[in-house]
Amino acid sequence: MENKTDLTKSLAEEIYKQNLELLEQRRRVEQLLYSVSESVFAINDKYNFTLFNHISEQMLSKKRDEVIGTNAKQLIILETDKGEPIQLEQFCFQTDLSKAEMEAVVLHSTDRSYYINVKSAIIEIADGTKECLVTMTDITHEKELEKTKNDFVSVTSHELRTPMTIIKSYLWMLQNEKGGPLSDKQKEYVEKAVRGTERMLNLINDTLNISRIEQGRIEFHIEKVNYPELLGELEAEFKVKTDERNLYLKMEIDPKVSDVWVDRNKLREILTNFVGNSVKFTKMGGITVKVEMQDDGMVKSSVIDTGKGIAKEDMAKLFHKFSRLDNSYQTVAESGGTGLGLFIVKSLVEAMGGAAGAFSDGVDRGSTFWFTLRSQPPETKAVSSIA
Amino acid sequence: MQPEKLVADIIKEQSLIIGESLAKSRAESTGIIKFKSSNIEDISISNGSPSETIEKVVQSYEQVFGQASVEVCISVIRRFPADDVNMFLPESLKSRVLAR
Repeated sequence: MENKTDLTKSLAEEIYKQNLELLEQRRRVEQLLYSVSESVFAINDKYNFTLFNHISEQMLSKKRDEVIGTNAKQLIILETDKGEPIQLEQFCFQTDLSKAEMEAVVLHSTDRSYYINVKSAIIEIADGTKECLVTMTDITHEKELEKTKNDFVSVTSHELRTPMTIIKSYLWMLQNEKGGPLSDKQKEYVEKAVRGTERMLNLINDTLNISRIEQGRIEFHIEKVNYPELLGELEAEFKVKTDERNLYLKMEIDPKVSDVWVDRNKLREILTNFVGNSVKFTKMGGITVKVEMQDDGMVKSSVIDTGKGIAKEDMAKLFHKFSRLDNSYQTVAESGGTGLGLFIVKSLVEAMGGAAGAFSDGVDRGSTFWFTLRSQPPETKAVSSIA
Repeated sequence: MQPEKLVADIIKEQSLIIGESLAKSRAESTGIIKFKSSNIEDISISNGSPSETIEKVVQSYEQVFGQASVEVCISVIRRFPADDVNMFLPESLKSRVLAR
């Protein structure tokens, strides 16, 4: 009997020591998380706080002891920068990693608001229950700097555009000999000045567009547009250029495609950019614009050319700001591009509910730029602005 | 500071290691401590001086879980300023708590 009691006591003491070790380990981990320089908190399946570090305390003006065990939904008030509320369920306990993070959302605290990037991860606890670990990175300062930069770019571009327009006007007068006849040499100089001015104006306009896109200041007038008709107009406009360069320009339109719901001018801009790029980078062969109706009700347009193509390593650079590819394709002066066009076009497509992308089999093997458009009216109002 | 606070913190800390119900039942086995509600910190002490209560609580854990549980009690007591808790400590713990 004595031995049995001793054994039970030894077992109890051993289990106690093991549990104590686990508690100490948990506290060490909590201390580490507590000390990291980002806001970190954890919630259980009932969305009650189980961890709350010191940066969370600072951002949310609450002490750890006050919040542990309380419901996180009451304290973590998030919304998009457009003011739409974000529920914790939208990113917590998400097995799809792309849904487990959100960028540049607004966190409202009692005394101020923050711009944050938020990431979550599911943690399996030893007893089979799950907790969600959430990291919030304060990017308020970066957002403020970005706004200052955008304001600066916007104001500067506006200020530059006015004198550039005046220069262009006077150059036009010179070129058309309104101030008297020009010698051949003088004509050549004026021609170069006109081209340079146009490039500069393009750059300023693109910069202004990007600034508007990033500040959400572009308005969209979504309407029903007869797409085959618009493509016909575009074909006529580009025919002059393609004929000059001995290139073919073909339109292959799925008979099922008729109307698309877009901003007509923005769609023109998108098509002009894609087809214009193809013309620029194609020396032999030509361009096919293929339009087809997808099963999801979106209309897919592909601009397929037989031109320079794109190297695999350059594909990722496309659609980024100032992402002109290697100069071996064509010089800046030759192409007249600013490196902003694709970024603008992709932003416009996405704002109208579509997607854009590109692929190529490699250098000298042509390329395909595609985008999708709605064939049905969007649920939102006819006038919307870009995010 | 009230001695109840010190005793409650000891019980709470033990509950993190052995679970709430076992931590409570060991405390109740002293016959001095009663839980006034389901909140583990909501206790009352009857028929005992603070030092006697603390001594009995520590012993109740030691009887089952050994020396490691006493060390845990001491670590809880050490979280408080010495001047605040000295008057509640039994002689058996005083020297060990002060030997920081």
